[in-house]
Amino acid sequence: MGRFIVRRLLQAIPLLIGISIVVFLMIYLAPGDASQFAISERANEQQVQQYRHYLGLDLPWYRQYLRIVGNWGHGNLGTSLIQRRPVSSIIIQRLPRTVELLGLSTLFSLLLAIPIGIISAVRQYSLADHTVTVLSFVGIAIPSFWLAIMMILLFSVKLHWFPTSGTQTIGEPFNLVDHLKHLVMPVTVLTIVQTAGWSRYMRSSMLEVLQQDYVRTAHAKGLPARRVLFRHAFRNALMPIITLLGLSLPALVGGAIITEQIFAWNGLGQLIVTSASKRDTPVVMTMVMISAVAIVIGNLLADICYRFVDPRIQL
Amino acid sequence: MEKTLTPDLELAASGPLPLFGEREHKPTSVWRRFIRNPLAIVALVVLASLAIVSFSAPLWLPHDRVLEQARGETFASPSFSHPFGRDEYGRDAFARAVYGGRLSLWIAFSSAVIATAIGTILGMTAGYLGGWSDVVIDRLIELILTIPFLLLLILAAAVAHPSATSILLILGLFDWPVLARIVRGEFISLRGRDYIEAARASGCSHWRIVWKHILPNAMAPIIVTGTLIVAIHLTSEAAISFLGLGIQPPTPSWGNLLTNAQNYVISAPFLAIFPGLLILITVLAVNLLGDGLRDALDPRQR
Repeated sequence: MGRFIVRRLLQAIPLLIGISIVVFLMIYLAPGDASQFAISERANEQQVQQYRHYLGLDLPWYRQYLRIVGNWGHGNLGTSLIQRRPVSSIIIQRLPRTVELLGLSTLFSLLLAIPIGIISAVRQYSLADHTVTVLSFVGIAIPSFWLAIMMILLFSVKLHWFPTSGTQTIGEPFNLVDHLKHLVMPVTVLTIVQTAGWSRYMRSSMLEVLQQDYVRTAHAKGLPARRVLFRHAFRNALMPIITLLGLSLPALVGGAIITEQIFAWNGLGQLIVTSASKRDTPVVMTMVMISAVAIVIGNLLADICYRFVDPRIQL
Repeated sequence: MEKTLTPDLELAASGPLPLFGEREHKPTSVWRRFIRNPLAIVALVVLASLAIVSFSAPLWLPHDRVLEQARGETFASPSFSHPFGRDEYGRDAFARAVYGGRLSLWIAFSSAVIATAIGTILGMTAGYLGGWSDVVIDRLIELILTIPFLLLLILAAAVAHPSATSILLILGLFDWPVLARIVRGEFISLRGRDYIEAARASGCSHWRIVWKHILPNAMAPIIVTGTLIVAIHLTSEAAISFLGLGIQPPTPSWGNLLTNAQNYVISAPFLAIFPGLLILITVLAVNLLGDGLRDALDPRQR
């Protein structure tokens, strides 16, 4: 087990290096650089050139790249080219906003998707199952940004239940109730979109398990249906959900980017959009690396959990 | 020895192994299974009408209507002559939605074709040749899949010159890994089959084996995944344009119509409702079509 983890982590190193080079080159090879965005639009060509030199953007690409990666080696995430602040402090400031958004929506999605999936599998082709199927197809197809706009329209504009955007009411001191009110709509949007996909998954996974011989045997032995369901079937049906959770990270990141943008939620997703369009290389690279590391770890954890749930799997 | 001999003879007699479905791998039976699925038929009809309406638009809806302003009638509500209402410049929201959809559908479809072609070719190469080409392609797949797809799109779109062509290429060039992985798996499992061995023994070239003997048997997952890629690209293009990194106004696309509509959600909610509804219906139809195709082509799955 220990050797497996070490081997997987070692394998990830060249992968992460590859990603950092690709992302760096994407920004480097694109026309324009951060110096245009970092100083006033009225600056003349000479001032832009001076600033470019000051930022080190006139260096050859490998020296720029090595400077960023070298900083990482010293535990330093570098300085934002646009904001002129340490990347670490920008990220630490915004991280909690994204974590609460993703954490809460993932939690709610699981709490909804697992029972929904089980019910529609156990009562296959019932009215409940058909309703869930239709809703989940719609939920998978619905563009999250449109869902968000429709929710703003209904709950903010028409009903005045929740604020349209932001993380707290501007101009007022931080207040937990106020913050939670701002949190409701973004979390709901992400939860609906995730639940739609995951409950489908849970349903098919449960259906597959219910057809297994050991489930029939358990029924034949005369065990109560409830016990068969929860003791025998549920545990095995949960396996794909664990993998799915590990593999859902890329989609979660995408969902966060869109949702944060619509609700003006100042988390990491919003940061990435502005940083990418302003060619803020250190910030963009750090963000990509954070999500890549999270995905590698997510995949690894999924494999490890798999091993725990199903001892037959050899790592 | 005898154990393996009998099934081998059977296989040799049956020709290429029918991987999907029973022996009846004829187009007619696929079509029969497909038309038995009412949802898939509805989806196909919906998609066909959307495609016909938007691509025939220049014939019945002058393109000038997209940009024509009517300053006196800003935010006019939907009416018989302007079913989707008018926007902040008094432009006809219906014409904008039709021409926006034309662009969005074209981008989603053609970029899905590009992604499917790249994914199929690289998956074939990796799966059939194995060795170093497999290692290289597999690493490349892993690299792309370790960056969240939307993040990758945002990066590429933010640094590229924003235009319909660049979005089309970005989607096509980055969204092949999942399909490549599927095709690779199919080829790995098929290349070891006895009928391939037989084909090789009878002097077939690699080229012929790949195109005539393996690819037809891997077609079902390629078609199904390719269809689902269209749906992914529809939402992705809309998302990128919504974020302001894709199709630039005044050229309409379903995504940027929504960006604009979000600003006027209080005064003109109808501007937000229609483009989003169109994306929803189209993506839903593509997904249902993909499901129908999977059931028809590959009844064992599901």
